[in-house]
Amino acid sequence: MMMADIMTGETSHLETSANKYFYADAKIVTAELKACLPWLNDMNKEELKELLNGVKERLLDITVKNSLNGELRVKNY
Amino acid sequence: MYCEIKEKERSGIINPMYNCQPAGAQFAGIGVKDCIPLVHGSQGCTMFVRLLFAQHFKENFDIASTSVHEESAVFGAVNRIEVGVDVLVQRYPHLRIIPIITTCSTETIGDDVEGTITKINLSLKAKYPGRKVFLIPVHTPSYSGSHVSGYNAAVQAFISNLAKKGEPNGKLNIFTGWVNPGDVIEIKHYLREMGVDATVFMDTENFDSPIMPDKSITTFGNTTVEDFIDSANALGSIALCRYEGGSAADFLKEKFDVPSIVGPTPIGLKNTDIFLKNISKLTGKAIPESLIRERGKAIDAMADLTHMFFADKRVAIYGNPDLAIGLAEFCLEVEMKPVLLLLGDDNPTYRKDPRIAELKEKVDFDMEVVLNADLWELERRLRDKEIELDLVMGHSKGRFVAIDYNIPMVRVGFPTFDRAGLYRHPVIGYNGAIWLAETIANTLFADMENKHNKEWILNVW
Amino acid sequence: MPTVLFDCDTAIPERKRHCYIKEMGEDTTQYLPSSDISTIPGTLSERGCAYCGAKLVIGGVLKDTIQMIHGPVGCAYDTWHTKRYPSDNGNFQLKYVWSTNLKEKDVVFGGERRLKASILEAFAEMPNIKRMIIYTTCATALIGDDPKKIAAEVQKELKDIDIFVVECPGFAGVSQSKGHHEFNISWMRDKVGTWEPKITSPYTINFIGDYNIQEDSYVCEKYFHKMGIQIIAHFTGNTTYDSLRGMHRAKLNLVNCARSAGYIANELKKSYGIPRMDIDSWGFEYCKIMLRKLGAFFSLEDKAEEVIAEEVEKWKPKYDWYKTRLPGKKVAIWTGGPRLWHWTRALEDELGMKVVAMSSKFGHQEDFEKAIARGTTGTIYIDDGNELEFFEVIEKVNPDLILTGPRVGDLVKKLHIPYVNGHAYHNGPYMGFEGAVNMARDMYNAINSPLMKLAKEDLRGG
Repeated sequence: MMMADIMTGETSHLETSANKYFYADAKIVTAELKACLPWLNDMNKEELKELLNGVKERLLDITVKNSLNGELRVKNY
Repeated sequence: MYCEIKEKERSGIINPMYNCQPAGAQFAGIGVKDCIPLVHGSQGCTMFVRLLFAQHFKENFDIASTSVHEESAVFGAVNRIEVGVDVLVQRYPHLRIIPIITTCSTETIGDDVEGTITKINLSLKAKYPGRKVFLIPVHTPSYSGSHVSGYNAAVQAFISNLAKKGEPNGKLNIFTGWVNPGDVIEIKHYLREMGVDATVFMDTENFDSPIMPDKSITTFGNTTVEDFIDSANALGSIALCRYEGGSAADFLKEKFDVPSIVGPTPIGLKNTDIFLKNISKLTGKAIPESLIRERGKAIDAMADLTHMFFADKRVAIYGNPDLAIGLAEFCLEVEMKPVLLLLGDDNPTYRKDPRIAELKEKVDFDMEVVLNADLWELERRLRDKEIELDLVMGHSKGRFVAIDYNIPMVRVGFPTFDRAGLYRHPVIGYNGAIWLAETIANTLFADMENKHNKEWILNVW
Repeated sequence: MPTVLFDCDTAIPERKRHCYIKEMGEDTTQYLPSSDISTIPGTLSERGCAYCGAKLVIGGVLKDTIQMIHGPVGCAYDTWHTKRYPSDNGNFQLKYVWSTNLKEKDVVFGGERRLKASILEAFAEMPNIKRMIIYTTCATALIGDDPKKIAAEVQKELKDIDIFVVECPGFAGVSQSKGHHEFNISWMRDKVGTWEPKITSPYTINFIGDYNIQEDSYVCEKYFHKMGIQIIAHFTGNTTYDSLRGMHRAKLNLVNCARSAGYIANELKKSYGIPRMDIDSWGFEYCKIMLRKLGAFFSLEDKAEEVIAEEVEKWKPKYDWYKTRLPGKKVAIWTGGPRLWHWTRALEDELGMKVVAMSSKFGHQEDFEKAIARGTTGTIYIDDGNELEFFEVIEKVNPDLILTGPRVGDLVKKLHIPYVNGHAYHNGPYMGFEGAVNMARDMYNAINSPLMKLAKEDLRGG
């Protein structure tokens, strides 16, 4: 939940390059979301976590779980 | 001082000057009216060739593919011809003829095109009573010959599959070879001036087509199914190019006794003279005053340029053999020296071409003719300083040689995508001779100015 | 709205699953066009072949490499002078192509001897060139030549040369996409890790899926260099063979064209743990995001902001000029695949244009998920669109401009519709901030061409 951390101003752990990548991604998305949806600033960390979990579920739903992309089920692309 | 005929010694090619057979067959196919060629092979064999035609003509041409994929490459792909024809016939109601053009892949797997056509013909007849769509097998494995022989094979396939003996039609068959719309217009002009009724194979005049207020698209060939059928009843055939359409004229002669004359390609004055005399010979029509005047204008225009600017200029020429040989003969007419002639593909008969023999006899300077050549034959000679050139003549694929070695170049042939509108101009006939001479002159003049090489001469020319 | 069957497709009802018009409230879990499946013969599909994907798109860009095409001459001839990817060494890659010129007797007896002779000749003719890629084609794959064996023999004999073999016969797969895949996977397997790049910065990336079309790479490279980032390899714009062998040393893979080069980024992640960062490099806002993400990854945020500020200051006034003149213009994007989703938001959000139709030649369903998610409702999405479908789309949506290839452009000009080259650009680069201005300029000029207005007039009155 790096995004929730960033949104509420907490620092993240950036030791591994994978984490650095997640941080970079989260940071940019966060900035965009905050700009587009100013009411995000009024939410506390718990509320944000819940909201972002919902968003994550929805994203996973669209891009993975219920995706019609047949290729997702093909090994080796 | 002699003309040496040799072959490229390398087995591979660096920078090809010729394409493969299916490309040539497709060019013949788009010259036919109500026709969409169906290329039996991988999609690239069609997609790239359509792009190539678009590069040259700045126009779109419809060509279909059977889109052979892996499983068909293993188990045979004739079913894809069946589907392809059916889809074309259903979706393009005006279609009347489909050449089925093979490629390296489908020739290697050995698809039975003729058998498949017989089968499709039966189903077409049942499915579309009252509509006849002609299916023409064209065998053009990419590993034989070049686009030149592919074009030749396709023209012959149309003729041999369709020509049918009937009443004499009093017409002349003209097989143009691989030319531009500008050339077709020039040919038609001569026929009109001489009052000759003729059929042009392939009539590609409309490859230079307009944007119209009603948005109609007319970028098609205009040679019809009936033209092919009736070709057997002509009073004679003239093929302007020995290697591009010549065998179709020969076929009509052998099978239907249609008198035929093959070549010479009417590039330059003398060759055009022979062409007009040949028309006269076959049709009995006289050469009119108007054409004598055109001829005179050409001589006049060329005489202004020759000893002053052209004499002894050393020229390298490459391209389709009929065109390249014709250009070499043209160079001799205007006092230039075609010191290097690159002729494409491995056709062994080029060596025996009577025009080459004549060149051999005629030239009084060192000249090389390289058979089965590639463009590295030109570049390597320049890199190693084996040759000095004042001019390069050929298609756009050799452009970087001219650019990098700073040699003026006249684009001629196919493709000429790096210059605007060249397809509009003839290189054959008297007007073609004028265009060639003046284009060469203007190219040399621009080069003199760019290099500050006696550019002041032109002050008072 | 579910997927649609165009009127021109009644003879081929299977086309229905390839065509979709998005409606309000729909997402890709309901409807997703079929893609990357077998082409229907005779449709006048726009697709190319696997060989094209490997040679013309990826391998042929390398600026120091002999491109040995083992097959009949046409495969070489046709993939030469058909791309606009320059290099900084005199455009070696644009000037030369090599063919083994396979002949009938080779088809009967095998083409390996001819291949070996051609390889040796090629190195002998150009002694300064030490790298080669061999491509198989339909014919040489069918006759079962073993180019890898020949390459190994030559490497033993000549020592200081290196050869890569990619097996990409035209019939493999259903489009050029298979060739991209083959090249990616084979390069990863055979060549990555066999050369050590010189590291000059703590911040290193591979810039993947950018082919220096009209100098795109130079633009992006300039930004990265200003941030102090070293580019180990460009996959494959203006790049050298050896730099691609050193891809394993980068700390990050920046992926632009995910379709043609996502595979190698995935493989580098699996084998070397290098993260894959997908970006868009067309459009102002996307460029900002690209640089900010890159800055965040390397903790170079300030540098990223400096570059952005500098570039925006320089190019924004020009961009703004076009921004006020393009809104409402309807545009169709008929390109390879990824540019559908790279471009649609940039054109709509930044320039106020409306993307009314998109067609992809070789995109996969993943590309359509992205394109449909980013695209708007009412827009038509087509996989492997063909000529008659294009005519019908034009009737339906009447675009002011089509971003597509020159041949389709030559076709639609007869219908009084201008095109801008969506593959090789009109006057690029189109990437980066200055590229966005160039693209806006070319679109503006095309849409406002006096000629297309004159074309509609019929002098005969009416």
